[in-house]
Amino acid sequence: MLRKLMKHELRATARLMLPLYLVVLLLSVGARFSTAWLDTTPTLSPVLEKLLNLVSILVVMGFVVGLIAVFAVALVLMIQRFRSNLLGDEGYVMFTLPVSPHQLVWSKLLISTLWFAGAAIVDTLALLILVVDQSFFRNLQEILQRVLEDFNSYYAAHGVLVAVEVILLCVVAAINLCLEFYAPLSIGHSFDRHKMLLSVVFFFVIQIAAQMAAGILLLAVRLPMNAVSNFINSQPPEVALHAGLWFAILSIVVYNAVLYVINHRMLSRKLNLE
Amino acid sequence: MSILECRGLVKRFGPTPALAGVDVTIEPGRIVGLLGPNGSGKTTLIKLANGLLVPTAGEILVDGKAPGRESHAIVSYLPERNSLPLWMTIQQLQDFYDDFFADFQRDRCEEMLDRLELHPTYKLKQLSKGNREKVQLILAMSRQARLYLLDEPIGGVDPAARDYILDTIIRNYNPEASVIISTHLIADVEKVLDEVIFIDRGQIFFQSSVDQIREEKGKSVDALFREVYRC
Repeated sequence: MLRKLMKHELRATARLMLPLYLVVLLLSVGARFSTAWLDTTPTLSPVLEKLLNLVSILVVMGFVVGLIAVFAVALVLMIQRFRSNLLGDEGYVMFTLPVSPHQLVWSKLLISTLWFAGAAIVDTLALLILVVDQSFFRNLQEILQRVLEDFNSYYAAHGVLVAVEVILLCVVAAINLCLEFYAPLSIGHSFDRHKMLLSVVFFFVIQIAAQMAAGILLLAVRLPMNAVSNFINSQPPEVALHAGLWFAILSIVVYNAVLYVINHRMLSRKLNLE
Repeated sequence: MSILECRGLVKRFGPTPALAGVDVTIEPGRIVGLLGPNGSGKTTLIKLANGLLVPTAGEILVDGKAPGRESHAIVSYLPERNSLPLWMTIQQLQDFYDDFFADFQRDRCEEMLDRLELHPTYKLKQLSKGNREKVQLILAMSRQARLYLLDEPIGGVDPAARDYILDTIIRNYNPEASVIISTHLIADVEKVLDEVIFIDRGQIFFQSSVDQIREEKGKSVDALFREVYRC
């Protein structure tokens, strides 16, 4: 059933995200030609030259806005889908499907993460289209090989492992971003009135509580920070890097688990669709 | 085993009790009218049976189990408002029901849509409010469910459409299943009911078969309703 939920979630969101990705890629092509035009010495009439300059500047501006918009829209869509599809009128259908609240939430988490990843890839591609020239593509294989070699020489033989860890960190961070909105929305919508206002209030309450909890935890365990720092400094750089990445991943996973439990309890025990 | 059972069911919204200790049992194979004025607790009871609300106290059982994943597989629910995504086409909505409900009968659904000339390529947002309600009803009635919970199925449509909707319900429900129709438009639904439950201010104060009302009180359900709920 999770697969089916994901299929329908993908269908519901792709109709907005795919055209947006396409627009950004087209704008990057436009921006490339525009920058090339702005760099040339024109031989046209002054009026036409001004007009083309204006168009070029607008295209470049549109490209910059597009780069930001893919992430912004993915974020807004993530929040809007959870609110309207689960906690709004569409929730009457979704919560009467023969699926568990776990499956409903995971379908949204995974598809939102997919769109965030897609946004990162599209922005990277768009920037490549803007800056690279033909020689880059001719030498692409050589460049990739050199990047990998440099990476491996700096981080010993763990370059690929570091890349996997960074990707894992990005995935848990994307899930964290979703849950930081899902949990307060679920709490706010369990009340009879002022659901959105209370959701905003609980968003800040959770943020403050998480920061306080982290501070209290650091004080409680009384980590001898100098000893930790000395230990890290005494290790080879790749060990310190791996340790740092895994500490970040595990910290976010623990925080995600807390947010997930809150969200799940609200959806399964305090659901209040009116 | 009864298909729906409530024991001391209470639901409060803040200090206001929407349901104040409801005890009711519904047996399989009955068409039951859940009748009461606006704000009497009909929708709250149906939402509780669907697990869309959580009881404040007491319990509600569907086929012996608390509302959840298992009960959703045997309950077909028609909400009081449109809850289908407006961007979807009728075809996509059928795919959706087909994917999630093993008892969804696509042939039957297509036949009913065809009769109303509701083409599969139409998007829901292109349709009038009445046609959206019909699509939602057709989807709900295209399932071979064991319990149909229909919340105000004729509330927002014209009299001609009401006849169509009631006809659809009668012709398409599984005879071994139970149908609960929540409404305050008694005269329209009376002809299809086996049993009625009168609810007011969150309490059930009368449950009887329609035949019994006619024989013992010598009145139609509509007349009895008007007498009971006279302002």
